[in-house]
Amino acid sequence: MKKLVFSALTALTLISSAHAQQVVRIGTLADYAPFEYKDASGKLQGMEIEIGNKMCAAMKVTCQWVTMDFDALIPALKARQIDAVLAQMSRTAEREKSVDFSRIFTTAPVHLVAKKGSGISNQPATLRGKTVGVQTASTHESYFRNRLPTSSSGINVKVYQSLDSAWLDLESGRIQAVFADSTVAHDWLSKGGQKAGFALAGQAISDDAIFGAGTAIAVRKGDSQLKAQFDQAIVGVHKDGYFQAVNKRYFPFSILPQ
Amino acid sequence: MDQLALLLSQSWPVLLDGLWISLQLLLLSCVLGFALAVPLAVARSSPRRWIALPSRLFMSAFRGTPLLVQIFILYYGLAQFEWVRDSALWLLVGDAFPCALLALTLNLAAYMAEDIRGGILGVPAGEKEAATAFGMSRLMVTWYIVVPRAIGISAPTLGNEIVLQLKSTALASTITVLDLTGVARRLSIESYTTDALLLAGLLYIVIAAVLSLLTRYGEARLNRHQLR
Amino acid sequence: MAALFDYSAQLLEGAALTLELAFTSLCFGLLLGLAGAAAKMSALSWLRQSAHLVSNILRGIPEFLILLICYFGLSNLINTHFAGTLTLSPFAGGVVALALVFGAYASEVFRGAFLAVPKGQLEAARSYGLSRWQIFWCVQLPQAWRICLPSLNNMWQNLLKDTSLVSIVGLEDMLRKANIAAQFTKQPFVFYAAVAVIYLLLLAVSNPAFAYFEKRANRGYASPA
Repeated sequence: MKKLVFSALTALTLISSAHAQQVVRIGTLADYAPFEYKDASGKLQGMEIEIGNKMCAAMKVTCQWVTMDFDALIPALKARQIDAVLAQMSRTAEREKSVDFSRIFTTAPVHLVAKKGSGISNQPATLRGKTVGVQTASTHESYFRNRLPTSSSGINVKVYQSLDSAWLDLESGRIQAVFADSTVAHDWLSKGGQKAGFALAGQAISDDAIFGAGTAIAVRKGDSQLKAQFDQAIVGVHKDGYFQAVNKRYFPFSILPQ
Repeated sequence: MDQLALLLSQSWPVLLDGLWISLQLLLLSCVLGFALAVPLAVARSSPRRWIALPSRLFMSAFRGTPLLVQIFILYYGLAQFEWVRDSALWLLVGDAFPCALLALTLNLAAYMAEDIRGGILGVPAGEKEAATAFGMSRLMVTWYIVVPRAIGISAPTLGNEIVLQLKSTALASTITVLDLTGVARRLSIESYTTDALLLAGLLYIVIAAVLSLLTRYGEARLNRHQLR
Repeated sequence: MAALFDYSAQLLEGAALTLELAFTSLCFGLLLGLAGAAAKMSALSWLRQSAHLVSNILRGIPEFLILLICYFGLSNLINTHFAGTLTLSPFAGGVVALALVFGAYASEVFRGAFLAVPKGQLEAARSYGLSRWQIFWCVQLPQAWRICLPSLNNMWQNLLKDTSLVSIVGLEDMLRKANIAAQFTKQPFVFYAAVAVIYLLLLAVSNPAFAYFEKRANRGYASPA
């Protein structure tokens, strides 16, 4: 009798697992509009969520979105709390020491944002004595840490858990500039930042070694199967025009990698 | 173990900087908090309702809500208002360090006031009666007899509060203050390990132990005239 | 103010998680506290001393730091060594941290309470032939419980307030929901004040609850004149 029940249960689990889809837990942010953010009803929305869901459908996997702070993403990936990271994370040589990345997903030029007429531009001299806000564990933070350390440049850097807190402090005058991706900067400016008297300051800053070629999806080191699946899915949305269509709805400029 | 030693040898300057910020927050909030707590406790123990009520409300508000929420209200919440940004209040809550200090001070004052209030209730009635019999006014009785006695009675509890306050200072790191916890988090993020956090924990324990000894010595000295 | 109404469902959801976290941590914390107290009163000196050491360490490190260590370090440890078979969820990480801190304080409180039970009671129970378990459950625990209730009330209130710390590691409690809402609507004061009010209410409910427990525990004892 016991043997019968046991074999029936095993058969059941085997059958169910054969039909069960692979579950991929994707780590992302909850406060990084317009790429990923939670609306008033707590639903995760945004450009990367939309495209991410489309890619998961194409990959025939069930995706579970898990939100956390940016600096917790890679530790969570390594600790197996999540299987992938899709949070506008730039593919840099530094990060590739700890995780594997898919092919480039979006481009992410970076810019300073400051009050109009404050005289701040991408020239380091204009920032001397001022405070710049950056997101924790971001390439923007390492740019200042490696290229313009406070001791030599006189630029104070305030590190925030979430970029949204940095925007709040910029508006209230606690910091004089925010250094972030042009995309989120554009979004913040269009949703009230411009009205409050802020604008993009100076030229876009480029530094391939620090900022990498663009953003990509991160997976655990050695997880080549998942990486290949994401690579294929990214090629899919880039080629069939879905990416461009969603891009157009969020930004007046394209962030499709060349 | 050797990883911790390596971390210590590489990052001890920043850790020391962070530790100094933590100690500054601790010492300043304890001194200012105590200074605020005494009048709060006296007001709370007053038989006149119009004096006792504001004190009661203040103490309930700061003891009944988490310190983290208080910090966020003072730092992010107040910054929302234009009139705050233009006023003298901005000097207090504009920068992260003074704002954290303000939150820690107000919070500690509420807890200390409750302890001192207990001490006030414990002042022997005979001493108060003797003072009144000598012709001291109510104010003199309060200032010369009740308050010093109450502080002496509540000294052990107050000492405990000081040691607990060290742990509360760790929350300043949530509003970008680079105290010991803030520095440890930065280091931990850069290395993807928790070694820096463990090291910070060790430092906190050592400081807490030293503080415990100091406060116990302080209590003994304060009550040295008491017959044991 | 209208924004508060939009997010009210979210805040209540966060409040539910806060309570879930608090009660779960309370249960485990009480168990840890009892175990710790037993260890501290044990005849084995190594057990006594290590229990004291662990308790002092947990009471000396900021709760915030313990949470960070448990959330990042413990998760890392468990998930890499038990890869796949056992995972520590963020919620569990939070519970572990809060329960450890509560247990460390509770072990001190329970130890004091058990020591305060009159020795005569234990002797009488033993001479009646009650088993060790019966002595613990029927004689020691009810009397110690009565003594430690006021301190437990204090510790419960601290636990409830400490749950706000999990918002920093991303758990979607009340404060985290308020963070997201505050940043999105640019009205931080409204949301943080709302969270403060909810905490006040929760704590205000705790006091009469504990008063009821104390009254029940103190039945049969003469009330002080």
